[in-house]
Amino acid sequence: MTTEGPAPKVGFEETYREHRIALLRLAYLMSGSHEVSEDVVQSVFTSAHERWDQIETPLPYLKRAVVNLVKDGQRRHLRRLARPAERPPVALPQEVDETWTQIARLPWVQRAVVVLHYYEDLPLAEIADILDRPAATVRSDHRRALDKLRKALA
Amino acid sequence: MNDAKTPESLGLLLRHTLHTVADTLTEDEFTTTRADNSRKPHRRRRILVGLGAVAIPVVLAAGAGAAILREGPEYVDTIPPQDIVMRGSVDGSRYLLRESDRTDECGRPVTGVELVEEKKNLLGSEWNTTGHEYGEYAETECGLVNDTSRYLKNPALFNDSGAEVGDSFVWVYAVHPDVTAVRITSDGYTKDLKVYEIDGAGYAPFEVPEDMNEYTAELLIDGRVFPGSEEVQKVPRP
Repeated sequence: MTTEGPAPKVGFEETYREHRIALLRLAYLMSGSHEVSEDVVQSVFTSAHERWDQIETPLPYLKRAVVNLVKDGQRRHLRRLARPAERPPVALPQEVDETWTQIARLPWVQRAVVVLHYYEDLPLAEIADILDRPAATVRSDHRRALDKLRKALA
Repeated sequence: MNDAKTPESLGLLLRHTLHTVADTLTEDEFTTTRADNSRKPHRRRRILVGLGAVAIPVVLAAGAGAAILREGPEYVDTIPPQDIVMRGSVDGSRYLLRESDRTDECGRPVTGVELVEEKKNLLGSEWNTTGHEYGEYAETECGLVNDTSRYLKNPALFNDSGAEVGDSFVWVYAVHPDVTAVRITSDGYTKDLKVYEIDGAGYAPFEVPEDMNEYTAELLIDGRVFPGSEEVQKVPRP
């Protein structure tokens, strides 16, 4: 017996137009790279397009896919890690600039936890699920990230 | 000085910082980045057009600021004649399909074709083309590369994508090597697109009539529609 999920509430094109920039922003905060962000988001939409009818909750699915693809990219494209971090397109207030610089220096997992918790407002338990890490480990990631940031910004 | 002394104040600072940085990133910002680097990071553009209809507005935006592709010796110097697959025109706006001359991150040739609109590619300016390739992308040590294995087992699988040319669109179908034509039908309109064989796959450009809003595409093998290949395509109009 097969069970089919309900059809998505919104169409693919509508979702693409409404949420592409939000997904690009999420990917950028996670990766710090315009190029990576565009690659990731386009790949995510391309993949999702092929199975759109089976995706029950598109936006959470797409966000999770973006996170996972950025994570995969961080593992596989080590050369990118050696590149200097890209700057945002406009001058930032000093406090924001300093804080963003320190966030970008965090190890990737800690950075992902910070972005997902403080930008996406996800609880740590849900972040653990997305990152496929034990909840206690993510709580530790979070604590260590805050310790580093607090020291760096003191 | 940053106020990061307490968990609450640090949390507020992080939220403020992340949202401020995110708000600086607009669609234009990404589009500008893409247009400025349109030649070198071709892999990204290829993914872009692989989305099909929804990629159109982005491709449109990426074209801003580009200019004319010249004919004659200068043009020949730019694109070797033997690389040109076909030429066409939509409402007086000329375009061509050329064999891809790109390489992946490991330096291996990329398959497929590029759609080049003349007015978006002025000699001496950055290239502004869209890539079209048969198969599906897979993450490898060489970056995102095309994998045709699943597609080659099923002639019903194909890629379709396109870009604005003139006042309408040119849509490119990348199909199985056994496919001999792509049939387009729409309200009394029927056309069998010619398939050009490139790198072991077929490529069929479709000049979408300006007044066409929806059509059906089917793949033909020796004159017969291949089952499961039918696709209804809505034409995005800006």
